[in-house]
Formats: sequence, C-alpha cells, structure tokens
Amino acid sequence: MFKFTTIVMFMILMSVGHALAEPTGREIMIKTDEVDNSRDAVMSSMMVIERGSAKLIRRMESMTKQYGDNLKDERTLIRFIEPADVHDTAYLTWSYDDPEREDDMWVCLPSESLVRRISGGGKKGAFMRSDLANEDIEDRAVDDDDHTLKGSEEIGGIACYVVESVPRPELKKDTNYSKRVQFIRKDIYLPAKIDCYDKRGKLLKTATFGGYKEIDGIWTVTRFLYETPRRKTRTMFQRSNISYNQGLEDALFLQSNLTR
Amino acid sequence: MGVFVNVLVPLVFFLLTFWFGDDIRAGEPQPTTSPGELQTSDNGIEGDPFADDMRFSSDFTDASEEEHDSQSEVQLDLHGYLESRNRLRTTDSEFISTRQRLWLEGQGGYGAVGALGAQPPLRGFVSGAVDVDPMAADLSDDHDTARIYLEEAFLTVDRPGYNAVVGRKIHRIGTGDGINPMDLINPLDYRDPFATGSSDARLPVLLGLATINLPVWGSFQEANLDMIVVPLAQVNELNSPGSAWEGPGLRELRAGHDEGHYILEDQEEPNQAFDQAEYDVRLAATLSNWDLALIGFYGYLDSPVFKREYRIGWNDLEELYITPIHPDFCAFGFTFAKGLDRSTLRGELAVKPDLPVMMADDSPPGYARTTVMEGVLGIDRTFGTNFYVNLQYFFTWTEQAEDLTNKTWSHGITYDVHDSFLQDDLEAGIRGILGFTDQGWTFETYAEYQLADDWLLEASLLFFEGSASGTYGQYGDNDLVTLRVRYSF
Repeated sequence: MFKFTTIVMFMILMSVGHALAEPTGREIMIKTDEVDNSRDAVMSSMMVIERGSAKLIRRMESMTKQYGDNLKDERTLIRFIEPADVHDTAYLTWSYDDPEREDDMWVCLPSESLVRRISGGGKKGAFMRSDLANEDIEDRAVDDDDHTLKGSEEIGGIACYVVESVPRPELKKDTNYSKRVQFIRKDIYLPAKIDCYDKRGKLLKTATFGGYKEIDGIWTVTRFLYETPRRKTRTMFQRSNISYNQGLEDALFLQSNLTR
Repeated sequence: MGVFVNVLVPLVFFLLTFWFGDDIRAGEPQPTTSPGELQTSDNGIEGDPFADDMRFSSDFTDASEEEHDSQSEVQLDLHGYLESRNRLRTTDSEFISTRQRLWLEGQGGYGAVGALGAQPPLRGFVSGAVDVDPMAADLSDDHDTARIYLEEAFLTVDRPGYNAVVGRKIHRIGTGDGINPMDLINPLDYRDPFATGSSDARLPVLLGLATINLPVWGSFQEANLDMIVVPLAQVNELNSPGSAWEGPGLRELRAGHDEGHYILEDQEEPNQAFDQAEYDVRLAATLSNWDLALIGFYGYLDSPVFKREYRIGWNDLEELYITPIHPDFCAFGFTFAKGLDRSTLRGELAVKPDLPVMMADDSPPGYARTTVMEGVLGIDRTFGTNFYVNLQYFFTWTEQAEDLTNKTWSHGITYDVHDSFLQDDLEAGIRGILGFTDQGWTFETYAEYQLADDWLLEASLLFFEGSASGTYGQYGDNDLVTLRVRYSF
C-alpha cells in the first residue's frame, strides 16, 4: 500500500510540476496566436497620428478570413475611407503560414480601375505615414521569430510573460527590428506591451495595448498606442464594430472584388 | 484506496491551487475591477491602460464608434479636390497650362451589405470637374477657358460569382508600368497626354464590362473571365494647331496643306455605334504567386494613320488627299506578374497581326499593314525602407520593316526611382522613358510633399529630348516646370 501511495503521489507531483513549469517562449507565442481562433473577422479601424500639434486621421475597414487545413493561412481585404486622397483604395493580401511561401498582395487604384500586384518589399515602410510599419499590422507567423522566455514582469498590475522575439536569420532583411520584447498577459495571452529594437539594438518604438474586450467569445485588443520617442510622434489605433465568424464569402477576398 | 482518491488528491490540488493560484488560473480572464486601480470597460478586465479612455482622446468618438449598420439599404458618399496645376514651358518661359480644377466624385450603393467593408450589390459612381485653364485656351482650341464635364459615370451590379459594369469608365489593362501593349480600350487624353514622365493619361469610354468568377481547382487560387464591349470605339484626337502637344510631324503636315501641296482632311473617327465597336476578352488566373492572363482584342487603332489617296478635284486635276483614319485591327496578348521575394516581376507580350503601321519615308505619309510584336519585361523592388526602383524594358518588332522603312526593332526602358523623407511626408525621385532606337527620352525629377492629411504640394521638372520624329523627342520644345497644389476633401 505504501509503495502504491508513493507511486501515485510521485505521479501527481510530476504532473503538477509539469503544469507549473514555465512554458517556452514559443509555446507562449503559439497560445497568443491561438487567442483569435475565429474563421473570419470584420472591423473598422481608425488611426490618429500625432506629430507635435498636427494630427493625421486615417480610417479603414477590413475583413479577414482564415484558410488552409489548420486555418493558419489568411486573406485580408483593407479598404481605406480616410484621408480623402486615398478613399476607396483597397489592399488585398493572401498570407501563408508557410514561411517559405511569399505572400500575395494586390492594390486597387480606383482612378484607373486597375488591380496591380505589389511585393512585400515595403514591409519596413510606415503604414500610412504612422508610427506603425507595414510589418506591424501583418499577421506574423509564430515561427518567423525565435522566441525566448526572459521571465515575468508586472505591467499595469498584471503578470506578464516577457518574451524576446528575434527574427529568424533569413528573415532579418525583411524587418526593421533586431528584436521585439513582448510582454504577454498571463491571463488572456494578449500583449500588454511590445518594445521594438532597431538593427543597432536601440529602442526604436514602444507599443502599448489595451481596450481588451471579449467579443463573440474571443479576447480582443481594441486599442493600441505606438510611440516613437526619437521622432516624438505617436499613433493611436482603435478597432471598432468588430465581429467574428460571420461566414464571410470567399468571393470577398478575390481580386475581382477590389474594383469599385 | 478510496480515501486516497476521494480526499487526498483533491486536498493536494487544493493546496497547490492555493499556493500557485496565480499561475494555475493564468488561462482564465479576470473580469473584475481592483478597487482604486484601473477601471474596466464593459466586458473588459483589469490592467487595461486604455479602459478609462484618458489617453484615447475625443478624436475617436463619432465615426469610429458609431454602430455600423450592415443592413443599410442606401449609402452615399461625396469626395473631391481643389487643385491648382501650373505648367511653365522652359524653352520660351511661357505657361502652357494654368489649370484650376474643382473635382467632385460621388458614389452610392443600394442593397444590404453582407459584412462591414463589403460593398452593396448595386453601386453607382459619378465623377466630374470644372476646369479653368486660360493659358492653354490661349494656345489652341483643344482647351476652353472654362469647361464643365463628366468624367466617369457607371453602374455596377455585384452578385456572387459575377459582376457587371455599364457606363463611362477608365479601365486599364496590363501588369507593366508605363507601357502596356494590350491596354487598348481608353484613348489618350490629348489635352494632357503625359500624366508623369513615364506614364500617359487616358480618357474614359462608354463600355459594358462583365466579370465572371470561374471555378478553380488544383493550384489555381482565382480565375476570372472579363468581357468588355465598347459600343463605339473612342480614339486619340489630333491636337489642334498651336497646342503644346501638336507634334512637329502634324505641324508639317498642316503646313503642307496650307501651302497647297495636298489636302489634309478632317480626322475620320469611328462614328457607327455597334458597327464600330471594340471587344476585349481577358482570361486571368492566379496560382503560386503568379498572375497570368490571356487577352484578345478587336477594335480600332487609337493613334491615327494617314491614308493617301489621289482624287480628281474640282479643276479636273488629280490632287492628293491625306486623311487621318483609325483602321480596325486585332491583338492577342499574354501578361504576367510574379511576386518574388521583395520584388515583383512583370511582363507583357502582344501580337498584333496586320496592324496598320505608318510608313516612315519622305513622301507624303501613308500606312501599310504588317505583323507587330510588342513586349514588356520589368522588375520593381523596394530596397531598405522606402527606396523604390522600377525598371521595365520594352520592345517592338515589326515584320518586313525594311519594306516600310521602319526599324525592325525598337526598344527602350521606363524607369521610376524614388524615396521618402521627412517621416514619409516627402517623396522625391526621378522617372521617365529612355528610348534606345531614336524614340528620344523623357526625364522627370519630382518632389511631392503631403501637408497634414489634405494638402499635397508638388514640383517637377520634365525634360523631353531626341529626334523630332521620335515618340518623345518630338516634344523637345516642351520641357516643363510643373507646380501643383491640391486640397482633398
């Protein structure tokens, strides 16, 4: 009886110990990636870019749908509403979880009714003159980076994992960042803060996340703030009218749907 | 054993949960508010820096938070811009255009929208402008001092699996930049033929367009069939005498007419609706990062050729009549675009059998038909953050060119190199076309500055150079300084 009890206790302690062991950085980022397990999503977005006393306003609407066997491929359609000079310009992206496969991207220039393939070479450029780079709004595959758990830290009174994400060597040329230090909330596995470091290893910009809402059963960041201290600029980004799993038709994510 | 299972195991877990509660409960949201700490939103959680809305100012009220009504039946939208664009010809320091423009465009939709961002099934679009251009009007009859006109006006019916467009529209075709051999629907904007140093400007035409989504299988990700009908072909207008864009060839032709060497008749444009229609069919597919398309076209030549004809005149003498005409022709083409790392490869190939081609001898001009192949192969790539380079090689091959005294091969490149500065508010670069076989060249250096959201300031210097008979060299006297200010609303 004693022997049996010892074995059971050992097994219990082993299993509890395993449960209490710190997850790896990659495991944390996989959980973060899996928070949004929707098949599709629609939302409005608005950006306010502050440059000293000047403010730039951008508004857009976007739709996203997951594809592939494991729903890791994604198609996104973004249609700009403001500013007026880009009104109705639409971007369609088909992104693939397979890091070896290039994304497909098209832009529709409404004045010429022309759908034009573009390359992902502009990933490092600013998104609509904001503090966000194009790569900041893309769906970044977990394995595009090597993730290392650096410990835990409280952000705003909330326990967070601190994960250092370094781009895989072959992808370094496609990013502005030498690394990103991500503070992932332990309760909902969404980011609380991300510090982005430039190629020289100096802090380039900081993203603070909030406006957490549970929408259609999915915890969602609805507000975030990107600050670039060197430029003394910041961009506030807000998502609204979010809904998930609306059963969006595939035809919405075709090039033929881009023209007005 | 029963005691162990029923009491001890739960007890151990209870104690462990108590000791390491924070970690074990980590997967569960905490929808509670900590007294004296951060507020929570409606269904938010603690530790939300933006829950109190203090840092997100009033900028985000109204439009972004309004409830989107996806069932809305009618949607209307109005936009436009005010623009002052002034072009100074450097050779004689004369303004060839001082265009002041009010541009308006409106669009509306009818029918329930399936999702935010999706478009209503029935849509209408109208654009038009008021142009005031006294300097261009002084030069030629191409321009009125003031002109109110409709640019585009079309209806779109968008149904699952197909959509149809009817109306007056610009519909460009091709994957290349600058030169597109199969872009044959819209004629050149003869009043303002150069949009930039490397691209032209087109005019809308009345057309019907149907796009059918085809079923896909295997590696095919999207396939479409576009069918376009232009009931009455629209062609390039010849510039009026005195226009800045009246080339020396046309000027000499008119001079010959004035001197009585021959009679230059009015341009014969297609004028029989449906009898002189244009048709375009495009079968397009996307697979494995490739956009591929096969295109067929039947229509009328946009740029006129000159028919030579001897007729007996009123004095019973044989006189030479020269008539600018637009014969019909057909063309078959293939286009592709391919994403490749941080670059995009683009290519087009067009075969135009029996294409009317001008004869380039010294006698009064005429034309003959021969087979012409045109192609474009190019690449564009972004280096670093915003440094963009676009190079496109183009060529034309003319069969039996020696009989027509044309060159068998003509070729060149279009180029566009630019970068962004001042937090992307300023874009500056060069662009143009460089012909290797007597076409001449264009070179434009430009800077565009975006002031806040609504203002655009642009300055550019555009040079033309080359032989007076060359496509671009003929405008050698038209080196231009352009200043443009636009306010968008």
